[in-house]
Amino acid sequence: MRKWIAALTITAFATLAIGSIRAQDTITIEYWNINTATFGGPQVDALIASFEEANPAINVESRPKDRYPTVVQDAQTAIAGGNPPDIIQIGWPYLNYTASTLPYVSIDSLIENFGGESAVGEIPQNIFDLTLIEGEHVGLSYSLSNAVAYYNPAIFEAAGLDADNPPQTIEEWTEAARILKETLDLPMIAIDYSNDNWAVQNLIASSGGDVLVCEADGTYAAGIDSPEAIRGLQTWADWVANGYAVNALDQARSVFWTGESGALFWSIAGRGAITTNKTFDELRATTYPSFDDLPTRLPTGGNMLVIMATDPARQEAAWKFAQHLISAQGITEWTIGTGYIPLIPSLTEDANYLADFYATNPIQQIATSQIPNMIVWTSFPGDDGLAAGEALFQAVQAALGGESTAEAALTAAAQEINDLIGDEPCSAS
Amino acid sequence: MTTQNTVVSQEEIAQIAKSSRRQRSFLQTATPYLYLAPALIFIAIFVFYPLMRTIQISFFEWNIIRDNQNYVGLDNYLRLLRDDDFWQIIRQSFVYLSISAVAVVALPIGLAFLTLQLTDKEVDFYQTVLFIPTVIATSVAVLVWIWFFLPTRNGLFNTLVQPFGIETVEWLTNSYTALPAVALVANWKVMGFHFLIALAGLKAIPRDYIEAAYVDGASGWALMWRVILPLFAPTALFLLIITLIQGLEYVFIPIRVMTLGGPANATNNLMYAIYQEGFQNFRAGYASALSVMLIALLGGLVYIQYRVLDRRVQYER
Repeated sequence: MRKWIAALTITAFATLAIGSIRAQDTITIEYWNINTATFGGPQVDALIASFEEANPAINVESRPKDRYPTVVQDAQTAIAGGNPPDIIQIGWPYLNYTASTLPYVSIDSLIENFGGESAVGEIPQNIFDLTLIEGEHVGLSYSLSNAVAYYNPAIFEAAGLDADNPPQTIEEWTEAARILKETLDLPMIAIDYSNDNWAVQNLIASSGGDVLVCEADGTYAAGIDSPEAIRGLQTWADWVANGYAVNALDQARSVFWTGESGALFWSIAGRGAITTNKTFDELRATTYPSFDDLPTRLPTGGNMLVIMATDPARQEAAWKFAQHLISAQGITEWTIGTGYIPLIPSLTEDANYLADFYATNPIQQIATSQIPNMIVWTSFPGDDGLAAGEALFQAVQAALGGESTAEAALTAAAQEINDLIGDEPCSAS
Repeated sequence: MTTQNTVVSQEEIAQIAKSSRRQRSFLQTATPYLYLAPALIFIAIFVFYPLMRTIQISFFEWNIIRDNQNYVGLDNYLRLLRDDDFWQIIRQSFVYLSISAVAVVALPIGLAFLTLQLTDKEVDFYQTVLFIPTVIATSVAVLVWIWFFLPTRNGLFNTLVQPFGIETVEWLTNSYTALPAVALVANWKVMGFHFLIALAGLKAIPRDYIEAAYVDGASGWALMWRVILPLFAPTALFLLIITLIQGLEYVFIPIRVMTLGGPANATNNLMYAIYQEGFQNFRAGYASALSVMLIALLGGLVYIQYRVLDRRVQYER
């Protein structure tokens, strides 16, 4: 019996010792992202697998969250608990908030300490500098997207609409929606939206409005109570009230891919998800609708990679992983799988990477054609910036639910946002 | 070998006896506290300290990450009381609790009483069927319910209401239907567990009392009203109190996944509002003031409920 106990004890200690030696050799980092199973999750897993194969000493664990605000909020909670994530996707509207509130390792210091100039050098300077705040790169530009109008040509044809010439303006979409409602009793438009306010910012900006304006006294003020911004939201609310659009938060994508709406206004980044999940045969897309003759103004969707690891070894591991994600191969896999606009535009003409894919994928070309119309996805400044975003989200919900007009909802929200952002300074450009 | 006789005086004996009594008395007094100490220390660290800290933070403005906390006195409370959203949230919290009182207290108790008419095998079957939702992960269950609530003609609930001439309903974005939808999911999840407690409470009623009542000529309503219900009352009171305390928590995940508190705050409640303010907007002071209000409200309600109902409850001693 004693021999058995001794043997067991020795085995246990040996196992622990070997385990700890292995644990010392391997670093495990956490990658927080918004890529759930139906939105880029499989691509993240594939990218992690190829990275781990090339770097056996580093394990990457993906931690998908459902929305951009959730990523920032959960990260802040983790930071407060002294356990920040190692590398994290932060949506563009949280760039300023990250710079002013969250602890991060600047890309400049990572390059200085661990190298990687060549990997970063592939990114066009203007795209690389999207994360530049006060002379420091807060994160590494990673995902870029804009909104497109996906549509189901079978529904168009069933309603007697011309699927080869889809609507281009708000007025044309309204008319097409009326016809679809009358013929098939189906809503035409589904708009995927959430508390990141990206969907409403597309409408507000394209109707000529601004979410934030820089006042003459050098401080920010809400611009959402302008007639242009009100028109943008009211258009959407009218569509919902007339049954032309469904009001369904992120259920909108399910509505579309089950063939229950004629079109879906959503990010090009959702192309892969729609293609995988749709229950109808053919998927097409066209440009985001314009208001009258106004050019569309489309907030740049997507995210940057921010490294928050505190330990140098983990910082290096996270930085290596970031370089893998922005490598030509990484971007190619990412674009084909999801739909994000490639960070390195020249890859779309490179036969080794995306040239063939782009030549045969008209939907992706739609997004590329809209690049000149892309603007900054506005974030609210200051410590209460996140609360200001929630105020706008509530106004959108009130208008879409018919509890108030867009004018009343946005006027009240503007007041609340102004109280929340206070006298945050801005520089008029 | 010599022996030495020691003469002990009466006074010394009394002294020793007194000291021994004192020692025994100390031990008798201290023993229960020593037994309780681990639990008390645990409660002090994980309940009372956070509670005190919450009260303290409610007088500050703080975003959790930064070190600087600005003292604002009662400002957070005054802002709450002046905020229309706060009163809307309070009203909705009561609505949630009222729905829960029916759905996860009255209904499971009613079902448990109905099972008295069934055979043991049938009871086992219903018990299993009703308990299944309890063991399904809430977030998974909620995702399935989202599909049921799809705002299209082919969404499950829309298919059910169409025969009544009702057009497509946007269940989760309509301010009239969103709260009942969220409450339905939350209560569906908990109902089976409460049914099990109610059933256990019924089964625990001593058969002797019921048989004695039969012998005395009681049957039907008289038996139910005068014997079974009074003996079941402690279980019912327990269910009512835990529902009151946890009712707002039951709906937390459904709100988080299904509606984000909207449309326009229509599904928000005190518990979710605390999360929103504390961990979405990072206004820890304001969230703490909300927490203090929640503690006061629920504490007050439980106290009143206990005082009113406990007098009518008979415990077997």
